[in-house]
Amino acid sequence: MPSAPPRILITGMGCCCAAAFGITELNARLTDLPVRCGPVPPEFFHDQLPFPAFLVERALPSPSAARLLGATSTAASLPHGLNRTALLALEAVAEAVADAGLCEESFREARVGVIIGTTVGCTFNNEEYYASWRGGAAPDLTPVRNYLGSNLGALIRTVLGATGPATVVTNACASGTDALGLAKIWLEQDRCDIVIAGGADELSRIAYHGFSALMLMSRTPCRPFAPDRAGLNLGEGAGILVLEREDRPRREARPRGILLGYGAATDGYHPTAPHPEGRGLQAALRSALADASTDPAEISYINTHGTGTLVNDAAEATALARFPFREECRMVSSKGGTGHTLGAAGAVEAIITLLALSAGVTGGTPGCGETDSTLPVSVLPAGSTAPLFGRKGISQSLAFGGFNGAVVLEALG
Amino acid sequence: MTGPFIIACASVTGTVPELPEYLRKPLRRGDQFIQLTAAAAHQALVQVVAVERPGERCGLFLGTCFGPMQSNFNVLDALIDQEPVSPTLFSHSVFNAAAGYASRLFGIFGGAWTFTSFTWPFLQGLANADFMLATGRLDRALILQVETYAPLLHDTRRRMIPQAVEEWPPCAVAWVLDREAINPRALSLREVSFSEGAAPPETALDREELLAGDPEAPLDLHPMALPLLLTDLAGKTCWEGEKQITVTARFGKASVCLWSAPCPPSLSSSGRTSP
Repeated sequence: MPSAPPRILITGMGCCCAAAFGITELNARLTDLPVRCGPVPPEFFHDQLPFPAFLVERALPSPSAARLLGATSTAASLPHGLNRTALLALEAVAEAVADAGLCEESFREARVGVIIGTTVGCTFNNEEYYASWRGGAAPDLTPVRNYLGSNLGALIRTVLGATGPATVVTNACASGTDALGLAKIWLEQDRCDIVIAGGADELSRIAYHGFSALMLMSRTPCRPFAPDRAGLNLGEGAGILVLEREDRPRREARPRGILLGYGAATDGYHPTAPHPEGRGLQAALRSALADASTDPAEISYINTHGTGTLVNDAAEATALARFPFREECRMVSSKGGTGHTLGAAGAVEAIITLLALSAGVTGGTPGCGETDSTLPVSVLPAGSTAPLFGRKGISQSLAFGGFNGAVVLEALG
Repeated sequence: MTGPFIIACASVTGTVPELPEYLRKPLRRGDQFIQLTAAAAHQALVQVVAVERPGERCGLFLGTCFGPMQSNFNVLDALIDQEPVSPTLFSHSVFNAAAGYASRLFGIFGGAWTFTSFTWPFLQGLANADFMLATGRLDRALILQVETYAPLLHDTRRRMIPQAVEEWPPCAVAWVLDREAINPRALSLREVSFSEGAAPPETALDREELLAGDPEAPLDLHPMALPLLLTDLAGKTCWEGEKQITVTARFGKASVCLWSAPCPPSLSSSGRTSP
């Protein structure tokens, strides 16, 4: 009989998004996420579109991320100009690595892998270079070199001096969740001792116009699951978790939680819209719960994908209603506080999930005063808080192409 | 025998891939990246006739260095020209669009993952598929690498590497792995391993991969060189025993080990494994 796979501990976390810069700040605001949603400032891009966004309003890199960058022994291999997605990722990496008590030695001695989800971070979207090139010029090649040197997985591995595998998952809005799930599998398969996993994305003009073209953006701060919801707001940020096998020697650091289960499935329905009944999400949830050996009745908190678009929230609510979650299980969307951070969303929301489970309390869904009565489940409304009856929860993501991912988490300590 | 087993493989090269009739309509608006993905997946999957697997037990792993780069630039064209962005074009510029199409067209519902790497994305797909099969999460996996490039990339490469005169051809490979040896010829994937290290960014365009041997042999200089070599080895000829392919490059070292049972006489006579 095969032995049970080892438990996968979460030993460190780092996060930056519009709602908070760092875990301490995020934890302090957990029950009342601020709604920092405003017009896109010109330093991002000049545009005429009317859609507000959630941005990280701090200078990057912060001193701790700059220290991490400066400490790397392979600095010569790093690109000269890191893009914003990389800078956001490095903020969260610096915090997570410190939180886990990892040091330079850790990366030399252990097999440390890196797996990061992103969407914008893997594209070459330097408008200035492209416009110049298509106009017949031969622009300076530095932006291309920076692009080629900025594969997030490889970049973070280089910065940390790690020697394990490095991968970028590009599963659109489910990228962050899938990165966590694959990291779990790498550890279970003994490919690594430690994995730095999560997601990062900056606000890009391409995504901004693309979502606008798809008529998915709201002109006002988003209202997930509300009857008058009118679309999503893009955001930016990064979430990173340090994952380790429980059966390996570790530092003194006290683990924050356990990544109990992961499931993924595809809808096979439409290039951009989810299956109306969330067919793939149901399958992903079933798979994640089975992987976690967890009964739906044990789940006390669900951080939904909850973008605020009509079809996403309806599909998601329909899928959730198919599971026998207890009435006291609290469902929320945090995108009213973070915006939709695309490839980062799954990781940022997994962190919010674990913080809520640890605190035993959750805030409501920013932007949603009451749940749309046509939906078969209700989310906790904005402005309210509720205790959680247990330590297990779910964070789930839906994505373009019919991709769905879910993780089951348990708080420790 | 240990698996997973390679039960089909195919490669497609060319700017405009040949698509079977049933794929033409659903792919009529798809970009080259999506069409090449579907063409390679089709060519591999039609070889799999022995055992059906439920879609929920099948997964898809797509690796790529550059993704649908030209579609991304087409969106940029619209932005720079201050024209409306086509929603279809935008959705196709997202890297996982091709995997989404393939998942839908071929009934693969057990999850789909797109990986980006400038080193060996096909091997990343193979390794992750191997893990999923080993853990019993999936019974079957479709693994692809797809590259279509863009004129900007070709031009940039020529500028960065003056000796790079030939353009990289659009290309895709697709393998089907299964937990069981369901083919007359049992061919298994024994090992996929690769270690990567810091390397100058230019190595993504100036690929120099050396195939271990005496003497070492240089591979073709494009990102599909190793996947094509492996596909050739896995799919085209009958051989017996273990074959270890080891490649070194400035960005790391990769090793793939395949094992084949003796070819059944019916296959040995033709020297081919695929129908």
